[in-house]
Amino acid sequence: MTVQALSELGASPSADAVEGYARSELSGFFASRVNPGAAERDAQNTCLPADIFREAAQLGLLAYLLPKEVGGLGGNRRTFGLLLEQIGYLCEEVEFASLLSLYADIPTLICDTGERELIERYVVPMSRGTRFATFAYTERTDALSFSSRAVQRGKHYVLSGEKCLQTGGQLADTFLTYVRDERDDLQLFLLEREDPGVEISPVETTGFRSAGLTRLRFTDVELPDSRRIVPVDGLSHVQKFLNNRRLFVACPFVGRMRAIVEDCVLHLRGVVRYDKPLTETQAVQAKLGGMYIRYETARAVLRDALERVGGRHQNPLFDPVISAAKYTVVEHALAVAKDAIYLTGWRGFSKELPFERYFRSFMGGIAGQTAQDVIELLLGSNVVAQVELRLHKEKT
Amino acid sequence: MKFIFAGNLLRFVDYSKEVEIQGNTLNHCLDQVTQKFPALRSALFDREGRIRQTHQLFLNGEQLASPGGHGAPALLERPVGASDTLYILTAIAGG
Repeated sequence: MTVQALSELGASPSADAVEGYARSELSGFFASRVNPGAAERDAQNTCLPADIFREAAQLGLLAYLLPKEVGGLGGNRRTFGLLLEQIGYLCEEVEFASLLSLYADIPTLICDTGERELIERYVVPMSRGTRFATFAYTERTDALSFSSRAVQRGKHYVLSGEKCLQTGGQLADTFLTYVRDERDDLQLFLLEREDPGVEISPVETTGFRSAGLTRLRFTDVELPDSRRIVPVDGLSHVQKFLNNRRLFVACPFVGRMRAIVEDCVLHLRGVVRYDKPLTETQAVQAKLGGMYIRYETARAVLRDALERVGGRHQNPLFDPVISAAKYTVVEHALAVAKDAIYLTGWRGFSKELPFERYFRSFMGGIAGQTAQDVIELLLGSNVVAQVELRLHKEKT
Repeated sequence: MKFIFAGNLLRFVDYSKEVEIQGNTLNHCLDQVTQKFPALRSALFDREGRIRQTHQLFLNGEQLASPGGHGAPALLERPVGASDTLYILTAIAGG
């Protein structure tokens, strides 16, 4: 398992090449280091350990999206998305892929500042898995009504507020935190775990339990100007970030859907009813066919959206196709996990089989990187606007 | 000219989807509409007075490129009349 194998994939490898790389270079890592502890972490509500991500960094996975000038592999988001899909297949814990994508993605935001000091202090250790960061955006209100504030005091800024949910916060040393300034513009600051006035507490959920979800409170935290990395229009900055991340959330779900269908077949082959394995029953085959159709549909939608990423047709702030893809994948993933429980009965409902855990993990996609109902609302509003704009254009 | 608002911005204009404003240029009309609805200013503009990139502006159905970008001042000095329509489309996720 080497970084070289990952870099040799090239800029635009085929999906088959990415799958081949993942099978040959990553399957051993997941089989030995991640999968054995997945069920236990879920049961105990404990976060994935940092050392697993340090090992992922040694494979080059945390440096993949960073430019070569800062020690990264210079990979693109389309290929990283394909890689996440394959990781979802190999890894029995979608939370791992979610955190991996987050910890690989956040340093790119800091890198974009071009500030050498910030790159040395944050980006380089993050690419090595010795430092982790998440972003703190969500509050209990809409983005134009956030109550978290930054007040300028001389050469410093004083931050106070609360952010109610961060993925991966339990391992994070740094929180990229969006707060309103005195002109109600959003600015982005780097808050550190050890800053006086910072409180981090775990958030308990029904699924996605090893993803280290946290709540962040900060009271009169004084920061130098060097920790302010987006001084203007942080609202647009975070929309771009969310637009990009939306698809990364969906990628591992597709791989896991494939694994669920296959695992279901393997399990049902061993269950005998009326003297024959359940896989020889037409009703069961039909249900498996429906699950397979959902998987292939999700995969097709995801890959089509991945091909748009970074292209000239992509809307960088809110891309309808990317958002529709995330929505579609999550809905199909939930349905496939539910069908697996239907087919496997009490075993699927119990912890004897992992399907109920996958179902709860997929529920994280309902709320994550823009809630499903908000995506519906934004896409509906967008489609109404597009038709109205066309009518205006025709009239003039 | 006529402004048409959609989505997240509607609450800043008392949920009036269409608003008629008198003005000679796009910039003048934007100034007028934010005087009429003061809360709209910070939602529409950043702290440096540029239109936030998250808003997409369409003049008579044609999208204005980068209204918050470097070419914005010249773009916003564009003359407009009573028959012109500016559609502001906003999609803000999260919160």
